[in-house]
Amino acid sequence: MNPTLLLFGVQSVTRLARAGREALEQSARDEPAIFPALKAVDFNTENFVNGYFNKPENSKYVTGDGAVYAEYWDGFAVKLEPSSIDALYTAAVSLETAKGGSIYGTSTSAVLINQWDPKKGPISPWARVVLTAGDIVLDYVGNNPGIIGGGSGAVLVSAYASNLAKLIPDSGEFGSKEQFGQRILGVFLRAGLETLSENSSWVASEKHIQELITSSLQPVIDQFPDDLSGQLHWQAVTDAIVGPAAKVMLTTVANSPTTFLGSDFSGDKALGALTTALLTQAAETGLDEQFTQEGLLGLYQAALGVVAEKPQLFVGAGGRTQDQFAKDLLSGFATVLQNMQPPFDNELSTELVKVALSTVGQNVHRFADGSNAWEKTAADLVKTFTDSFSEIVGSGKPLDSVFSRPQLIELGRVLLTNISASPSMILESNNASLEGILVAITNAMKADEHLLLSGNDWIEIVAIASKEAAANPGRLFDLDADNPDDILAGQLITLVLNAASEAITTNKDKAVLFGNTLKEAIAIVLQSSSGKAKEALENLQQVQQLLQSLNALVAGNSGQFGSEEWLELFQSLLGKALEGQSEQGVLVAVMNAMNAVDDALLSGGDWMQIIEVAIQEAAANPGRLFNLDEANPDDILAGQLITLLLDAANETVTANGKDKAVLFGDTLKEAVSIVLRTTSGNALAAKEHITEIKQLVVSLNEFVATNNTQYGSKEWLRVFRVLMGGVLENKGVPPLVVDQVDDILRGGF
Amino acid sequence: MMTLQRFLLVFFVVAMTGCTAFQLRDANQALTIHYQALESAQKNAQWRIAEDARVSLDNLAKDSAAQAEKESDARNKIAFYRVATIATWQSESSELSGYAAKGGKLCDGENFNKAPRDCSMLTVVPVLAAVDQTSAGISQVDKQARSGPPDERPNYAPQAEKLFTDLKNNLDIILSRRTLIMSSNVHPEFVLEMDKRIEDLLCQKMEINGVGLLSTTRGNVPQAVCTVYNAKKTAKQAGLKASCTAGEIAQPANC
Repeated sequence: MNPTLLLFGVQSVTRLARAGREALEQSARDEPAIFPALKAVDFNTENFVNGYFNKPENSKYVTGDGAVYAEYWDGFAVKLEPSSIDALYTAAVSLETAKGGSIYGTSTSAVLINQWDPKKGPISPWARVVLTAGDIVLDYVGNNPGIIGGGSGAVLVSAYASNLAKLIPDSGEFGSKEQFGQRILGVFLRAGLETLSENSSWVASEKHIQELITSSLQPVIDQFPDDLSGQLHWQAVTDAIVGPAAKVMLTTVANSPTTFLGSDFSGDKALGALTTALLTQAAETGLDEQFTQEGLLGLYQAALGVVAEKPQLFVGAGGRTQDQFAKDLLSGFATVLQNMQPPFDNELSTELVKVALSTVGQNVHRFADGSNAWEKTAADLVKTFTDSFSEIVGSGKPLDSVFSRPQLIELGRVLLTNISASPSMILESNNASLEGILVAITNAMKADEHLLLSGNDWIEIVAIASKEAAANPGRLFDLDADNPDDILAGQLITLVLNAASEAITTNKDKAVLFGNTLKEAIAIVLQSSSGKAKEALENLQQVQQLLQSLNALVAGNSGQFGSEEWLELFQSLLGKALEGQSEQGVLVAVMNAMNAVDDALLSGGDWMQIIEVAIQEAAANPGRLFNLDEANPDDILAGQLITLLLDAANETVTANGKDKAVLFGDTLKEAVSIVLRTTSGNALAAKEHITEIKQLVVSLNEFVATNNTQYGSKEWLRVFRVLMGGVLENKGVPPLVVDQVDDILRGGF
Repeated sequence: MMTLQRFLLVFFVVAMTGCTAFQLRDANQALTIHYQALESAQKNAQWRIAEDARVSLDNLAKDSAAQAEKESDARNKIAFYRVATIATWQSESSELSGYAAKGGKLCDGENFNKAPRDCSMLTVVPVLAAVDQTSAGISQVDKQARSGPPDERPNYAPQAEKLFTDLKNNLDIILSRRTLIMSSNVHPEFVLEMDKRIEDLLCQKMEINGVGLLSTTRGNVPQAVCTVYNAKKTAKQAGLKASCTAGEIAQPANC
């Protein structure tokens, strides 16, 4: 036989026997014991009535005015006559019966009494034996984990057994500290087994698990206060929080076993430090409505997540001990959480803290140099974010009608993820960049009076804004300390929102700048202007004009233009507007033309191509065809030329029907393009020969309608292109006959 | 199987080495049995059986006290002294105060809550035994006083005064000890039963029997009534809930 096992067996028997004897004695001592009654005084009626009627409340019946039994009484005693004694005895019985009492008063009898108040007594004698036996088993299991089978559950139970065995005193005296230790180890086991059942693939060595339990729970047990009131408070807090905390901790460990169980880094010590900090924080602040259990556990979970992701961050940065660091981390966030204002309640705030810890933790390697309190940075980010949005609520903006709770969290995640990706924004500017984005966005939100953007739209805008801010720090989102509201990005977004509001107010049914279109428009503004902040600042008016013109164009021609065209035009024209080059003339010219005639002969796509050509031509020959006379905006030459073509097209379609007419659709679009291209470099001639141009168009229409079996749109366009050149060169419009047209088509003109 | 049998054998040998538990259990049971026998005999006027019961109780008290001396564990000592004290109370032996004092000494601050019922009994039983003695005295004097000529009754007034004063002193003592017991871990039923006995002392023995005897012997009744009134007020202030202290306590004239 194994000598160690033999020795263990002898020790166990001795311990168990001692415990058994103790239990037997305690059991005998605690047997119910008799408590005798007091002996009664021998009863006689004279003694009784003398005592009874000398009681202050009964003396009125025998002495004084109106005493009904005065005749039987003499001084302080009943008269020494049997009839008086009997009369007063009868009277006493009658009086007591009337009161519902008894003349015999209170009598006692012997009873068996137990030793202990059930609420204050020690554990039962046999429970002590069981506990001692259990302790022996725990010792054995702790040293021989194989006895309870294989698997990680056995490993954990074995580790648990060793810890619990250490806490159970051999003397059998269970003080409050030991009871406390058992209790938290009990919840630890329960939580551990639950966790293991959810992570059955997790396998770890016993030694590691033992160290994990010891390092994470022992500091908590060690901090158990000595004074009774402190114990009660500490116990209440730990009872509420240790179980869930253990589950959170083990889940984290199970998900990252190599961090905690396999590397040189003592991740388990970080767990211990964090767990102690968690309970200390809970004991200091309490678990009330301001700071709930769920909130604190959420914070703890988030911190553990960082331990799992970046364990090296917990090696007591900046000369702090690991315990101090964990305490700073939790207390820093606890302070932020406690001071949250609506709409950020505990749950929402905790989610944001998780986001901040996670995002900063993931990016902290970019800016953590060992001396920086990165956990403070993360807490500051959350504070800055929530303060900004609380301010919106404070200003009366119904934020909850725009953002759902998940959306607010997502908003924080998007913003913090992008911000923390650019550490210089955080560390070098003392959160100024984040504040810049937040001021820009929150100002813009305030400008969205008609709630044209949804929560998701804003999230996307914030994503773009923060990306642009990270890509081009210090431009669009630069904070001016003297005038913090003058952030360029905010001004640009507000311009778009104001234009959208104006369009909605003017013509609600035909406005397109809202929702997705509005979001896209803001995205275009931010993306286009982030590299041109200086130019954008100087040309805000041009941007505003562009927005208004586009709104007017689309609203006035809703049959042809919608949100897609709006965005396409805005994308095309914004760059020029930011450089101060107004394309107002092009839009006005097109608008004039469209308004002048029934433009059903051209589709929206045709018009978009015409505008494209117009923009190209305007860029190639600025200030000619599209020169806008502010005093007389209808006098734009390009507009007149297009109108001319449209009029002629209408006439021929009306006169000949679409069977014989060709000037509509693609042909008309091409004709407009030919006019714009041929005239843009020679605007003066075009202006002089506008009558001839019209004559040419009309003649061509008539010729093709008459000879429609031989000539179609292709021929129309070829002849028109050739003869337009002639008209502009003062050659006039030749008579259109078949031979001549054929000649032109052959290239002989 | 053999291993298990050997294990159990060793276990019982070691466990039974000291048989204090059995002795204590036996003593406790004997106390209950002898007490019930005595009570039954007294109720049925079986004086010889009652005397046998008293002798048994007296022997039990001596054996328990001797065993208490041998014990090393204070809790066991206290338990045996408790048995000895109660047995002596019921056997009406004169050794009671000695046993109670020895047991009571062990019930210091720390030990009181290790055996709260036993210590509580050791604290109050001497007082209750004294009350029983006084009650017997009242019965005796009352009987003597009433059996003589009426004009000789005042001769018994001094004895009646002393018996009444004894009751009053016992009440004061037990009320003062009640505070310590109330704060201990003793079973609440003990406190309830103790209060019933205090109620019996105050509302029956003092107010009816004590004052009745003074009245019968033409003693100073107004003074006794006033003493009872003050005692009721004190008991009520101490938290005692008794039939004669319920509601507003009637105040006697000139008190």
